[in-house]
Amino acid sequence: MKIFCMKKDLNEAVSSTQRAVSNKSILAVLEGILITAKDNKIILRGNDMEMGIEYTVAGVIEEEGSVVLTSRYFSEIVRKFPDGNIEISCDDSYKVNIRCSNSNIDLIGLNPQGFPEIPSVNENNAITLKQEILRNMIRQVVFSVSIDEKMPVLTGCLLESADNCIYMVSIDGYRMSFRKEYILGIKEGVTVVIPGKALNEVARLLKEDDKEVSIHYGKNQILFDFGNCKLITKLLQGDYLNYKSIYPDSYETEIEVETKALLDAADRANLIITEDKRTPVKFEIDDKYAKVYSVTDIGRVEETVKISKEGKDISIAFNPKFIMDALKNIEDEKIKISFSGSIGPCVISPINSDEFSYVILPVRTN
Amino acid sequence: MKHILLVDMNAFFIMCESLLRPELRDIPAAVAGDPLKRTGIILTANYIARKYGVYTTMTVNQAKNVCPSIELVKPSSGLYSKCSNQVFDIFRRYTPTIEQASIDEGWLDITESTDLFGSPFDIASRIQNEVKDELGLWCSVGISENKFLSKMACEMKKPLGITTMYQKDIEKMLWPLPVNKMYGVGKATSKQLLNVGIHTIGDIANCDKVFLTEKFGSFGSYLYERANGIDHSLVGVHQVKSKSISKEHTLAADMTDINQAKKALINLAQEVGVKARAEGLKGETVQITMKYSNFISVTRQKKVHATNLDKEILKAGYELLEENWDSKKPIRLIGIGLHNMTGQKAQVSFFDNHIEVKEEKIEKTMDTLNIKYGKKSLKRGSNL
Repeated sequence: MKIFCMKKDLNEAVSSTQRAVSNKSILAVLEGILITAKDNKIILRGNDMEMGIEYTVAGVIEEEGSVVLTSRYFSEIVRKFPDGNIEISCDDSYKVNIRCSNSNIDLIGLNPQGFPEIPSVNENNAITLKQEILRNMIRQVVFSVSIDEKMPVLTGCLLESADNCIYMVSIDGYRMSFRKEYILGIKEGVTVVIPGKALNEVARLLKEDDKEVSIHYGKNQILFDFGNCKLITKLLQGDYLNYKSIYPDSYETEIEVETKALLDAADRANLIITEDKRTPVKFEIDDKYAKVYSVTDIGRVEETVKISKEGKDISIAFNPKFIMDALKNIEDEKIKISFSGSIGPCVISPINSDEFSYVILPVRTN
Repeated sequence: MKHILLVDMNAFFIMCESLLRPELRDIPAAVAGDPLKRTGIILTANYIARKYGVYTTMTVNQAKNVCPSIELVKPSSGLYSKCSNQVFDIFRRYTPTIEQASIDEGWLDITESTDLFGSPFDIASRIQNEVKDELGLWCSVGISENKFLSKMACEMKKPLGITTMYQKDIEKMLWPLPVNKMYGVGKATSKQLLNVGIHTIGDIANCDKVFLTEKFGSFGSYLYERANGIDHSLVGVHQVKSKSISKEHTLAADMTDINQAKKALINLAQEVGVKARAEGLKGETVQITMKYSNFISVTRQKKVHATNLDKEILKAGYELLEENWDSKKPIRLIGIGLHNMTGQKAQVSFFDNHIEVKEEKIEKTMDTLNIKYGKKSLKRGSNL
């Protein structure tokens, strides 16, 4: 095998592919990136058996062939090369020579035969949407996936389609993020649970521009096709929670508040809260103001935020992280918060949109 | 410096009874578990009876021996909690920071009230007079800077006493007292203390703290601090979480009917639940205690899903009673408790048992109402 490509292109391909390579595996080949030069295409692949990434690099093939290079070294080498042309060649015994400018590096490669195949996905089932939209959807939902392996299905996000819209939901047991996007022409049909880890990688690969991404799904895998790059991941099996039932039937208190004012108040109240103690932030809400405060060994913070309110006064406490995570991911200037009692679910949503909402469960106080 | 009052009602039960039967004021009288039965015990004797040597926990039989003319009255517990509520209403005129220690005793933090109502002594005498004039009941008051010293001060003069003892006074007032007079020291501890040559509270105060800690663990440092007049616990705030919570009740008459026993458990289970919820604790074991008429007591327990709900505690209690009831063996005392306490998970979860959450809401609401309007102002139908 002998190929030529630009450092910039190769670096992007390697650093993307590397995300699907396991750092430690019993199989050496799984710690590597597979380079294939065939049919005028240079393709890099990483596969940790949960998720695979395939990246097509622009370049010139002088001699077809393939080899696996240990990702850790290969990625560092490429990253540290100067800008310019890189030449990679490999002999029959998988000894690899990499040259760039005045550098000349030999690496021991591995036989690509043991490299696991990336499974194929039914190309017919497809949803196509703007990369930027999917990126926003993931960003607004993925932070509340569960990290508790006891309920594996909750370590992923639910992706569901209905007529003319798609939904994404994540629930970690204490909070839920819900995001809806109107996409004309989409039909009801998909209901899959995508691992949170893979979605984070998808978000990383998505560009903030007008390009499209197409999503193909089967029973066990889902594929995100970005054009020159594809990510395929296993789906999580098992029934997802009936998230619709999480919303309370009625609310006792509803307030409207400026997002930033409340976020800043919660942020400052959080300053004196240490991770290990996990003291909640308390909210005392009357007709005109929300008093946000925290009391710990370090001191006391009290913030007053102007609000408008309907319904009863309420006193309620939350894990400050949950509140801040939700508020940080809302771009709207004003939000509505609906409370259903001091130990019932609380719903945060923008005022003029049903495109997203967060449900947060409070902390009991005595 | 803080100002704390401990108000303790004098001979509370019998004084309450005297409100209904004024003639009891002038003769030796006591409230006793079923006075007709010889095995009943004296719950509270009035001061005339005390002069004859009648004391609480004495059996009716013994009391009649030392004071043949004693008038014995059956307990009417509803009356006592009503009177207690009225007493605490008077306390609330002077401060919102109140901790009820028992039905007839409470701590008041009046630090912020002195500008309004005068010196701690003024407040103490106003409370004492108002309790006496408005309710016809007697109380003693201890005045100090913390809960422990106020309790010790209150014990010094009864009935109708007002005793002031601040930290500066302890050498003269507290230290000469024998260890068994110290609040928190029972028979077992005082025996252990006597064994190592500690006779007075002053001996504890001047003892090496390390020695006490080695001998009694954390209780040792508790003793040392209290004997030196140090107590940082706040009025109204339970700082120490209970390891277990139990309530028991000595029955007015020995009992052989399981249905009566079940009825007795309802109140007790509720009291246990209220306390557990207030402390934010749940227990994984429910235990019942039965003391038979021959004074031998047995405990029986069972595992439950961690709970602090009255209903669940009671359900386990019923099961234990049914499994262990012997109608041939009359019982004189019954108790129920929660053990193996776990902190309640503060963070509410979507996976919480929703029925339990609902039940918790109901019981919390009941607790709040009962705090606001007085114990037992709201009861379950089964308990009527």
